[in-house]
Amino acid sequence: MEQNQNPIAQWLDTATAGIRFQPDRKAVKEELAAHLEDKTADFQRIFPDMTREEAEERALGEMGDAGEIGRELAHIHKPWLGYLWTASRVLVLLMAVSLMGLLGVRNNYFDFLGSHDRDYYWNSWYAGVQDHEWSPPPAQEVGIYRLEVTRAARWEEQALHGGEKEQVWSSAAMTLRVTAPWPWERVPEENPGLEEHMTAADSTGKRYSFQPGPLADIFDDRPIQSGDSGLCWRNYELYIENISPEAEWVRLEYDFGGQSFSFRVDIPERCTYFRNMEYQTQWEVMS
Amino acid sequence: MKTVWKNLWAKLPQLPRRWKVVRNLAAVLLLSALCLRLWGWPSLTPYGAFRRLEGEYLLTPSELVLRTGSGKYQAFLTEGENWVSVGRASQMSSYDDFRYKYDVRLHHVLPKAGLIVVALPVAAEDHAMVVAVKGVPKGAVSGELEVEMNKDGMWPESHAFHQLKSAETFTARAEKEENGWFFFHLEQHPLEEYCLLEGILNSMSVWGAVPEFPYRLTLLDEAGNEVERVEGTLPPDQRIQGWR
Repeated sequence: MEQNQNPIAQWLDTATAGIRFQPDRKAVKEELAAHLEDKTADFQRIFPDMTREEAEERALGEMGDAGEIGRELAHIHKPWLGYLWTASRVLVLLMAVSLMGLLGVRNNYFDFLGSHDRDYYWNSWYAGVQDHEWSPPPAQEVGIYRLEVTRAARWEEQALHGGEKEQVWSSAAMTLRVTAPWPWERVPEENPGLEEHMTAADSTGKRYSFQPGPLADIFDDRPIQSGDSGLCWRNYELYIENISPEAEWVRLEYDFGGQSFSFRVDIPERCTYFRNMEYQTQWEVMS
Repeated sequence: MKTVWKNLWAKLPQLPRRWKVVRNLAAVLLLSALCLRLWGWPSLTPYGAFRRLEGEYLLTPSELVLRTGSGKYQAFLTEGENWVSVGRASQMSSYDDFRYKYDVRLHHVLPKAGLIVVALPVAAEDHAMVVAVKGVPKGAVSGELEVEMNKDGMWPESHAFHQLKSAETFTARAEKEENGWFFFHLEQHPLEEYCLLEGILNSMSVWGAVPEFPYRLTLLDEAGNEVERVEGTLPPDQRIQGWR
C-alpha cells in the first residue's frame, strides 16, 4: 500500500470498491469526490486558518467509515442491470447498422414498408374511371387470404406501323388485391399459382389464360404483374388482351387443389386508357 | 450540430435505468422486425419454406400430418380443408442471392375425396419409404400394402445402378392412426449390399417424387377379415417448384 497516496483518493477507492459495474463506480466516485470537495471548501471558509490538508482530513472524518459506506453502496448498485443496459445499447446499435445495411443492399431507403415503385404507372391504367361507371364485386376469403378486385378499366389499343393504324383492339385491366392476416404470410411478387391456374371468360364467352407468352418478359407485358404492396397485402395488375368489344364483364376463375374463387368483374363501358404500340412495332422491325 | 443534438437529448425526460433497458429492447424488437421485413421474411425452417410455396397456390391453412427426413432434406405431408399435399424442402447454398435458402417442391396436390395413396420422397428415420393412405372404407383398421418398384426412373449413372435388381415388391403392414391415416413403412433389405429401395430413395434424394409405381392395398377389419382390396398406381409428380 502506497504511503504517499492521497487520503481522499484512498477513501474514494475503498468506498466504491464494492460497485462492480465500472461506469456506475466511476459516476459514484465522481459524485463523492465533488461532495468531499464541497465539504473541504466549506471548512476552509468557516475556519480561514485551517490548511487544506486539515480541512480534507476533517471532511473525510465527517463522511464516515469508507468500508461501511462501500458495503451499502455495493448493496444498492447491482451489476446485472448495468450489464443488461450496456448489452441493450449494443444490440440497438447492431440492429440499426444491420437495417441501414439492408436498406442499402435493397436500394430501398424510402419504401421499406411497402412498394410503390410504379404507383404513377399503375394508377394511370385506371385514371379517368368515374365512380358511377364501375363498382367492385364482393371480396372473397380463400384459405387465410382475402381477395378483392379493387379497380377495372377498358382500354383501347392500337398498333401503328409508319404512322398508319394497322390494328385496333380492346383490352381489360383490373387489380386483384390479396391480403394476408400477417406480414410474413403476404403473397410474393411472383405468383405462379395465379398464372397457372387462373383463367378468365368475358360475357360473350371468349376465354383467356394468364400464362405469359414467349415475349412477355422482353416487352414487360406479362398478363399478371406485381403492383403496389403494403404490410400485409399485395396487388396484382391483370391485363386481358383483345377482349370482345361487346364484352360487358369478365369472370375471373381459379381452381386448384380444392381452393377456388370466382369474380364477375364489370368492365366500364367507356375506354379511359389508350395504348399505342408503335414503339413495340418498331422494336420488332429492328430486331 | 453535436451540441444541438446533445441539448435536445438533455431536454427529453431522463428515464431510470430499468426503463431505459425496456425502451432499448423494444427498439431492438422493432428494428429486428424491420430487418426481417426488408429481407423478405426469410424462411427459417424447411417447413416454413414449404408453407410459403403452399401459400402461393392458396393452399392455406394446412396442417402438418407427417414429416420425414431431417436437416437438409425433409418431406412433408399436409392436409387442408379440401386437399392433401406432399412435397419436400432441400437446403441449398445460393451464391446468387443470399435470401434463397431452400429448394421447395410440391410433388402432389390431391383432392380429399376417395382413397388417397401417396408416398413421401424422403426416407424416414428407420430409412424406410413411407406411403400414407387415407379415405379407406369404414371398418378398416389395419392393412397390408405391396408396392412393385423398378429402376425405370433411376439414372443409369447413379451409384450401383447395375448391381440393383430391375424390379422388386416391397411389403408393409400398418394400423389406422387416430387421425385416420395409415403410414406404411416400406423397409430396405438390411442384409443386401445393394437394395433397390435404397437406390430409388437416393436417385430422387434432392429433386424427384416417388415414381408412379403400382400398388396393391388390402384392408382388414378388427377381426382380421378383408374389407377391401384395391389396386392402383402412386400419383404422378406435379413438379411445382420454388425457391424460398
